[in-house]
Amino acid sequence: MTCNEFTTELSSLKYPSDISQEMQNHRTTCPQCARVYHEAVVLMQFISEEKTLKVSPFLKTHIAAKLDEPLNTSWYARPAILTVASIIVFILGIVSANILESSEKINPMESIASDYYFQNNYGTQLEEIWINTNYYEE
Amino acid sequence: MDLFPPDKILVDRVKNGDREAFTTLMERYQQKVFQTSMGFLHNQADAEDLTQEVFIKSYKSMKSFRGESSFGTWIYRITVNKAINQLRRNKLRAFAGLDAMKGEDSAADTNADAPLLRKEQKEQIKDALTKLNNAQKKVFVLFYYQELNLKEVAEVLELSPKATESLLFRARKNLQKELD
Ligand SMILES: [Zn+2]
Repeated sequence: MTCNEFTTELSSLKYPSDISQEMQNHRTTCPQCARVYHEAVVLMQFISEEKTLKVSPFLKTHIAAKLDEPLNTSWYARPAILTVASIIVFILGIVSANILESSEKINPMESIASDYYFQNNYGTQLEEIWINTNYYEE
Repeated sequence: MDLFPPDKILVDRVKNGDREAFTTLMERYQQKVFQTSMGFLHNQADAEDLTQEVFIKSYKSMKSFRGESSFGTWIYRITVNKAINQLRRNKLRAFAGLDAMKGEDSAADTNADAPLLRKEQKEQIKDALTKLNNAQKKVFVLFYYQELNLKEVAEVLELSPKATESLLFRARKNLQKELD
């Protein structure tokens, strides 16, 4: 039996414990397939552990209490979510407008300096920019 | 009065407004629906929420259930579809970073009772199961968690038994690769 045959046959079996004698023989002589077999056993163990969990005895009561509520409550909740989202967007709009407005009130001296910086002209036009602004120290 | 009325009779009673009949159906199927939900979500609280959603949905949709399949098949179909939607939502939440805390909690609560497998082993298996594509995941969960046979799985998923068998094989093969 090859390793490929072993792994393919293992995938066709319902449980790893259903392996044939031939597979059993291969497993004892092949560490790689022994590992694959072990992983399959662990997987089945994981499933049976999850299956042992029992549903809460109160679930039935919870469900019964909800049977008269309208279905798809999320659809009913959606307008509420939209309203809240709109308010948030509105507030954000006001806040960002305020920020922008305050950034427009930037000190003209700073704007001259930044103009200078971005003009990339290392001083030749600094005086000109200074003259062309309406800002003078009082 | 029949103490163990068949599902079909209970469904008819529910359609006629009998709430008790629905409670009986819930008692019959809640553990199974929960188990299936666990197979997808691997978290007790999430699986209970999903179980709750499934029953509420089935109650509200009972009028549209025409009985072409059994009630069991129908409720498993609802469970599987809702579970896949929940996984999509979880992915989005994880992407938005909303589930960081929740993930830690869930690892703790499933480990509390049965510390038979190591935490990292469990996480590795959950990862591998999550990586299966939806079709393989559905078949795998119904077969191993719900212990339905291939014909029943095929019926729930409205697939041919051959396609179901092939999906199960590919799921096992992919898990083998992921876990090695
Ligand atoms: Zn081998």
